[in-house]
Amino acid sequence: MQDKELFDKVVTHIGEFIEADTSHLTPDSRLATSIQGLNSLKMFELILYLEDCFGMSFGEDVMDKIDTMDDLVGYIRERMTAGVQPA
Amino acid sequence: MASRRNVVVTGMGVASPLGCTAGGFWDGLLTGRAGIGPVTRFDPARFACRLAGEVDDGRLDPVDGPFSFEIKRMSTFVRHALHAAGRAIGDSRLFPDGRPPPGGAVFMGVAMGGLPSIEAGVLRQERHGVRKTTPFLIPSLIPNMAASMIALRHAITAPQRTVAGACASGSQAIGEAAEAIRSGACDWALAGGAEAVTTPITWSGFEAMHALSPGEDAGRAPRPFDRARDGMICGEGAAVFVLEERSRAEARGAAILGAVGGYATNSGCGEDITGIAVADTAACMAAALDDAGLAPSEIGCVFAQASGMVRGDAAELAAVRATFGPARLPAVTSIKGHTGYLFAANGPVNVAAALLAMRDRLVPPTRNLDAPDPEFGEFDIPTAARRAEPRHCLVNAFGFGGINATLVVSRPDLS
Repeated sequence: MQDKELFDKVVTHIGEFIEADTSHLTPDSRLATSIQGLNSLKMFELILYLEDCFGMSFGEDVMDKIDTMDDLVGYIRERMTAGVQPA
Repeated sequence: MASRRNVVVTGMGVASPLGCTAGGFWDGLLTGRAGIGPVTRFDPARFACRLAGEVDDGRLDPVDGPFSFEIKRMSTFVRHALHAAGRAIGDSRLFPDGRPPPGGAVFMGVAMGGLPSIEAGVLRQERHGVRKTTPFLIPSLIPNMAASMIALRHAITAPQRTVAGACASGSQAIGEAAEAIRSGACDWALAGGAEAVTTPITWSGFEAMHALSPGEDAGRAPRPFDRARDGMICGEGAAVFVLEERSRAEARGAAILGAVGGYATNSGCGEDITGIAVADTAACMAAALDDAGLAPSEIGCVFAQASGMVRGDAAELAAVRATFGPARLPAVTSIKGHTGYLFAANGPVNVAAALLAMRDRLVPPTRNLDAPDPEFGEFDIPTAARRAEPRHCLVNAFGFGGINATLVVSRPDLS
């Protein structure tokens, strides 16, 4: 999957999750401030949702590693490459 | 001496197995419609009881707007409570600009709260691992979320209180709200109860107690007061009211639906922690009458807790006999044959029925009562809607642990 394709897919899944338009998101968008209403509980549940969407398990340290959309897409890319399966 | 502050009802909202409007609910009661049907929220094949009084969630008002994301993740009782509260607020016209006036409070009664969420959370953890637990699990299941979400959704910053008094919770919430208004602690309140625990662990627990009717005909169970009664059917529901101090309600030109004139609650269940003790429940009814300043003969109808349990129905009627005396027995009715047993919402939904009965001068029937238990022969229990002139009604609700609560509600022109 190309980076742009993966980015678009993540944006789409975030939009599904928060039930809002997320087309404004760019790779530099900070997750904590660029998605309206994304408080900590929603963020934790978004991680679970993305795990299901991509059929993988994120690490316990995921929240420390993703600040921007680019970080999130890169994190997912890294897990895909490593072949991390669901726990 | 200063006159007592009187409490009136200016708004009513209902979510019930008979419908999610007060009108639909009332029509269902009068026409003897069954809100009982096959369980749909889970596969009940493993249980003897496969019937429930479920609320049709498709009839609930949409939850667009503030906190809609969170509301969708709440246990079902919260959505039922929000629907009923929203309808009550709209009915009352108390928030003319969408903002709550000062001097309010929220009182909600919830017994088992998010039991379905707890069960689903345990199963998810076991099947998918601890990490797959939703972070909304705890917020979704805590009983206060009915009152809390009502407050958050409607921008109410006034105090909120959740009463956990088992199946008397909703009546206690209404009673405490009325007492708060009487005392001057607040001028208006949203008050009621909500419950929705249609989940396998509920069935397991109540079948272990031999409390559920094994009847397979949805049109014939449960059977309050009938000689063939064989247990209760679990239902879901909520009823919420806007209560106001009478002079304030009259000053703003509110339509007054009735009055909450009396309330009492006490403790006692004999030696059975799930039982109904005649002496204690009779004392509770007498205290509520005393609080309302009424003689027993002024009560036109008792809206009973009666769920279709063999001993519970008999104990309640014995308590009614002890309270009113054999020569002055009022009409007694139970709506559980229509709705099933609504736990914390029992009392509030009965209050809605009582207010509508006084409005339309009709006493709703006890459904599925074909052959009254001979022991109850002296009681007047309508089996069809009956023209009557109830000026005051008494509403009973009793909970596990010996929590007894009785409310007296009256016609709008009476307090």
